Amino acid sequence: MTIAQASSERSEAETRLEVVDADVHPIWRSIEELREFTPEPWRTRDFGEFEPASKRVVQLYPSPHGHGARLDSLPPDGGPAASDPEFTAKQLFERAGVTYAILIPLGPRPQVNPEHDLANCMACNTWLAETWLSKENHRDIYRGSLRVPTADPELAVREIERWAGDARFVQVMLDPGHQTPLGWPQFHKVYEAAERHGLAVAFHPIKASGIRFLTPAGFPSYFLDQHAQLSHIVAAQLTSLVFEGVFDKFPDLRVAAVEGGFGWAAPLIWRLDRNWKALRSEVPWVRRPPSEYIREQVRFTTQPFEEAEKPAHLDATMSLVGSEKFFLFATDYPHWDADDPQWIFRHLPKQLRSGILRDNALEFYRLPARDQAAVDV
Amino acid sequence: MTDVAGIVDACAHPIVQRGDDLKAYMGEVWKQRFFPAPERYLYPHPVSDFAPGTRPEEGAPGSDRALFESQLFAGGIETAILLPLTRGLSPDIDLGSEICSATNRWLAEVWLEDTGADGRFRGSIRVNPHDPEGAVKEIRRWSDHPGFVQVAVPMEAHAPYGKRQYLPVWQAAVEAGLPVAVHTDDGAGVEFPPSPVGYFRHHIEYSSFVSFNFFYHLSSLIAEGVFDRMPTLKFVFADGGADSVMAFMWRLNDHWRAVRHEQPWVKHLPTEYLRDHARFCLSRMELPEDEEALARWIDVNDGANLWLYASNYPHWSYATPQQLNEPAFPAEAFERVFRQNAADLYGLTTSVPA
Amino acid sequence: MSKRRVVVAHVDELAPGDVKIVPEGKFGVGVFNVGGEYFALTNYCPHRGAPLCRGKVTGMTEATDPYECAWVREGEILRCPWHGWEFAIKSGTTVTEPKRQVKMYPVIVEGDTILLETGDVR
Repeated sequence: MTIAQASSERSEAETRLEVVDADVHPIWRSIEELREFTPEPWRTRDFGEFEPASKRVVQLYPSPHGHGARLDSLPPDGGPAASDPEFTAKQLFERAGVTYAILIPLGPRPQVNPEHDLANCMACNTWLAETWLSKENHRDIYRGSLRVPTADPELAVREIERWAGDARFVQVMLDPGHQTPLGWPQFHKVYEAAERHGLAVAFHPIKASGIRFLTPAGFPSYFLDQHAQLSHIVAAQLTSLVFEGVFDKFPDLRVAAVEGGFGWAAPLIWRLDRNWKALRSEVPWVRRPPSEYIREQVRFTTQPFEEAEKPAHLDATMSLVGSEKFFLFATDYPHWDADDPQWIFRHLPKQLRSGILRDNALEFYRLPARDQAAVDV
Repeated sequence: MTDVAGIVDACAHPIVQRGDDLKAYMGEVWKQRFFPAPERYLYPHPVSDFAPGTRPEEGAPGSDRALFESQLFAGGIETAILLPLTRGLSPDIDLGSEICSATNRWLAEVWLEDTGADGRFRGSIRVNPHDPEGAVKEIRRWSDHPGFVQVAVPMEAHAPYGKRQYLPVWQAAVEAGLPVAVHTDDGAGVEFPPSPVGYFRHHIEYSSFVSFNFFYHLSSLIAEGVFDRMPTLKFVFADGGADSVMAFMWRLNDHWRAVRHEQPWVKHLPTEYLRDHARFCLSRMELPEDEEALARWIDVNDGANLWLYASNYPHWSYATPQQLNEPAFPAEAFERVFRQNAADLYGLTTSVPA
Repeated sequence: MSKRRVVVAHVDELAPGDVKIVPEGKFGVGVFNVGGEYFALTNYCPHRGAPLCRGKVTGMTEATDPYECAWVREGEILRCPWHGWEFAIKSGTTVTEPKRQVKMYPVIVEGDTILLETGDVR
């Protein structure tokens, strides 16, 4: 990474950065945009006279501003936050040179009926392909994540196959809050399809309602405790994937743990390794120590960045994972808890900076390096 | 000046010889009832739920006091805090409470009767948090007994422990000057799945994950202002997870500042509550395997102040002090984690170690 | 560094509850009217560098008893548009601990004109 003179009006102290942003959340300007992409019978049901189920917003454990977005991310021409690809790019570029931005659309909320879920996912994927990933991808920075119905692996595979070979999609998003651990054998066909088509798999928490909020201790009361506990959902899924042999069975599978925090990554690795050494007779298909699979095949995004009070603590948290390739920078634009690349840059251990901000993601998502100057605003 | 105790084991598990032996400590009406056996129903260990060599000639591991003492106290432990388990969450509230009461009577009679300066065991008052009135009575029944040094409740719950229905229970513990220990219960009850994403298929996943579950209760207690209401209340999370505390607490710090207006009764940064209100028992199924990494990690987690050595004898993850001290703790941290923190917490004044 | 005065607005243009962000300094300065008094805060949140002054002007809750709170200081509190941290506009300090401080500037009214006094040399 080169450190050149400041190009923005903001601060001489800021550094010219080049980043891959591993977590940006686009949304449609109006749900009407999805009508033409939604298969029947759901098109008629969801876009009929009454408000579609898919439009229902979940205000359970609401985030600080209610709608989840930073207040300054609302596009000037109207529309929800992150509904304007050009304004999004402009805001991202205010803080760093963005080589690529990986889009993870959270619009389709998990539905109880997997057929309905599939229809919503198909519409979202087509919409993304037709807008942000093509005619509105002016700088060619956006790459996409496929949404699929996590609850029904057959339908999920069908949707993956529909997009196979389309290089604009780099990964498949699965819902880590699904109420069966995702290492169970019925899900393996999803990993097989993803691996075969060169797609990574991303776990990104997504909100719906009901039993998915249940914890071993019951339902938390507030956003304050509930949101902090999202880490446990991702940790549980990784535990399941490791010991159900998913990484052993699919050695080219890549998994991104997005927005689950990362302070617990090293403790998770220690625990998995120690338990494997003591108890591996139960899971003979896990032929190598879990730490090896995780370091090779799993990546964690850095957002929300851990609020360690001392640099030495942050340093230990990141370096004791034991891999310099492990972390991927992400803003989580346009959400309220977005991270600013300048601030992250200043607070990362020096030796990890260029990897985390850009190179780890280029390698993980198999994206070609680019001349940043050609991409800039 | 308080004498420094020998090594304190903050969590060991005695048990009745046979499951039904508990009935001897129940009233006539309850003796006619049926209730779960002590063994954990879900996720049986692939080899044994107990450490090798701990099974006595008769009865379950942990049921023979002589063997228990000879094995546990062999490696430098001078005092052990006993935490018996209570067969899982009972849908019949009164039955669950009676199991707790009978367990306390049995513990007092068989394990704590000679507590004094030479007594090497201390105990936990088991209560049923889903029966707050009964729990308060049970705490008051035993709080003057010098052998009981804490209250104990299961990790599994139908609502996290910060919720208001539990306040009378914690208040009673505070009035008795007793900390509250939280530990996963065995047996078979109406627990929710052990993870937030449902049931794992294998014991190894269960074993790897559940040590993170303490955070559900810790974050709840902080978020609902329980520690603000009860400045002397202390919780001991007795089932592992000690090495993950800060990772989860930093997230709570972050959110606390963002949504202060929703829970303005939480007056302090969440990590500020740890020293005065929380302790964490170690397990040998966690922690780094490298000495330098361990020293750094103790610093990250304030381990010297917050961690307690626990054997978990005679469960399969039983760790002697030597086993848990590998890699080795820095000397000062060792003194605190293996001796002083528990001595301070439980008010132990025992002989100076040789 | 010599002081300069920058015109912010005519008094009629900045009513109680309003804010105007003036392009001064590295990040801009937000000038707030709180109940007829003016306060100027740097448009940079000390947490993560958000444009603080684009946040919401509001009140805050104060706990009276556990689970009970009152709504107080309406119009005196600024919530950061990103992570929602609360700042008392008049003092520029956070409501939560540990206290963080936003740099403030003097505001002067001359006749009908609101002026910001900055330390920048331009």
